[in-house]
Amino acid sequence: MTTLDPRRDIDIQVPLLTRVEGEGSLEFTARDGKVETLQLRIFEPPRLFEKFLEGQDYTEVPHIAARVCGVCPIAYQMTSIRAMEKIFGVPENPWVHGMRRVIYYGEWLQSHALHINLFAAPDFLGFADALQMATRFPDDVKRGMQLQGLGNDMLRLLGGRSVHPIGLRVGGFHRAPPKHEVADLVDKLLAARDMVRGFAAWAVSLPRPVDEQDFVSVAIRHPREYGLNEGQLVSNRGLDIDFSDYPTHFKEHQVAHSTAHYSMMGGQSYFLGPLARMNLNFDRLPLEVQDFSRDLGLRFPSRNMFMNVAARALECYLAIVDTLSILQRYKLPTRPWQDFTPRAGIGHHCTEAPRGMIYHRFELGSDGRVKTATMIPPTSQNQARLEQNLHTAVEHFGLEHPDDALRDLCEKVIRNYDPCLSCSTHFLKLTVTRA
Amino acid sequence: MGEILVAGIGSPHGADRLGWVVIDALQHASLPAPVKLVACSLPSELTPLLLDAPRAIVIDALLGDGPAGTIHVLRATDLTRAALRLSSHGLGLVEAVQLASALGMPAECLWVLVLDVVHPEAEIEDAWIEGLAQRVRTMLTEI
Repeated sequence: MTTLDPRRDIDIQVPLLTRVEGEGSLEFTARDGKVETLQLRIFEPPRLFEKFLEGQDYTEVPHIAARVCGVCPIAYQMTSIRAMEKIFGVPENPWVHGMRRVIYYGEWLQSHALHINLFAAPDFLGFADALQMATRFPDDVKRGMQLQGLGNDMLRLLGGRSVHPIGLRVGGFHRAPPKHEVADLVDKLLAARDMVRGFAAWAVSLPRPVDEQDFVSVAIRHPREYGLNEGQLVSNRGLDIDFSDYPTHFKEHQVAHSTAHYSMMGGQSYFLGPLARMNLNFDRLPLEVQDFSRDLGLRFPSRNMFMNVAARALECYLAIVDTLSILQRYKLPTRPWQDFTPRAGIGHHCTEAPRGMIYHRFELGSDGRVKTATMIPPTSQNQARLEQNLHTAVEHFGLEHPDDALRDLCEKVIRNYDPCLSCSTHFLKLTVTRA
Repeated sequence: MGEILVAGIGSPHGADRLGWVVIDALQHASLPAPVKLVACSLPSELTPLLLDAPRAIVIDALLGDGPAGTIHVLRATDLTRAALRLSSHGLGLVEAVQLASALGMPAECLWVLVLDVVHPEAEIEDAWIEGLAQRVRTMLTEI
């Protein structure tokens, strides 16, 4: 292996990161054997959705919120809907709760399969991109695409369409799918069961690097289910809070090099996403998924950041197993939504987007219109941890490696978080000084 | 032979809605062959659909040199080869088709129907929708 003087000047610039959602760059400089700058610069323009929502009727919120992200619209819709249902005092009935899990699992499956297949696997197998990988491993890539398509089918069943779905509303859904549509999807899910096991086993077998890190995992934990859209916010350092206490424990601040906010918990970075969920909720997985994980030789909790892809793969299997258990008992409801009376108030909610926990706070007036909205996505919450991860990974790897190897390592670390840079630029504080 | 995929690529904004609007029009039309009509947004959604379809017609808006309303029928081999940038934000129609081809979709099974809107903010004209819908109906009898 080539080794160089670790005290040399290093100046690595990746002006546009590929195989991530949105637009960002990497700046990495080192002098005299020390890292000088190592930053993920998110330069995606601020999206300003929170401002767009002000003054809108509560019925419009799910449709506007969905536009924040083309990959994870359900996360934005579901979290905003539940925050507003908290204001209106709407408890979830079992049918609505089950269907919300189904559509959310669809989003996880399409997003996870896309990431593993097209973003992460080329890194681990040494290909420049998925097209190059597809020529060598066409069957593996095709299987991943088919699972992505199945995730989209799950989204369409309840959302009407897979991108910016329109089926969700405050109180439940606009439409209950007829039994024959559910039966068709159940058939597809049953047929995909072996496929997803093969896909997960393949993802777990990829030659992933070892990157042991000291980090705090944060995720939703539910008394009985794998934390997804209801429960408490917990960490492996003793956090156990109601969603409404989020603002007390988590604080955002701006940094000069990014249009995304940094988020800290008690002044420290924290980690969200599949590995954090698996670390905190392995015992809440269906036994079938726990057994499969053990068969694959996986152990959770894990401190190896690159186990994120294994956790993501297990969640693909979970999505199909749990959706089947819900839809195989499907009954048409009398009505797919619950009644409520709009009223003024403040509501908070968290759900688990594919990339990690997302927090929403809505304040509504007595006319049902939004007074203020806050939406904190997982990528901005992960940004401080990601940059710490970059520093530690580079220190472990060593500056004596060539620039190309250092750049590859940094890109792998960033992609491992599956960052959605477009979502992360959720708000920019503007200070106007007038003479 | 299974259903022919007819996929409209689009988004909720401006002339980019064209693919969706044509799919909506076809949903209310009598068609000469069994079809699966899908309105897609991200082109990355298209690859899995192409892999499942025995034959496919993809409809999209084109920002070209005009005149506005000109319809072109492209085959997979006509699509400009472009560097693959696998952000879903950068995964365009060309890349989605390239990936499907690499995964075994025969090039002769795909027709790409594009209409030149010239400007992204152009008003979609009824004649454009009818022109594309008519072309789809004709193609369904020929392919």
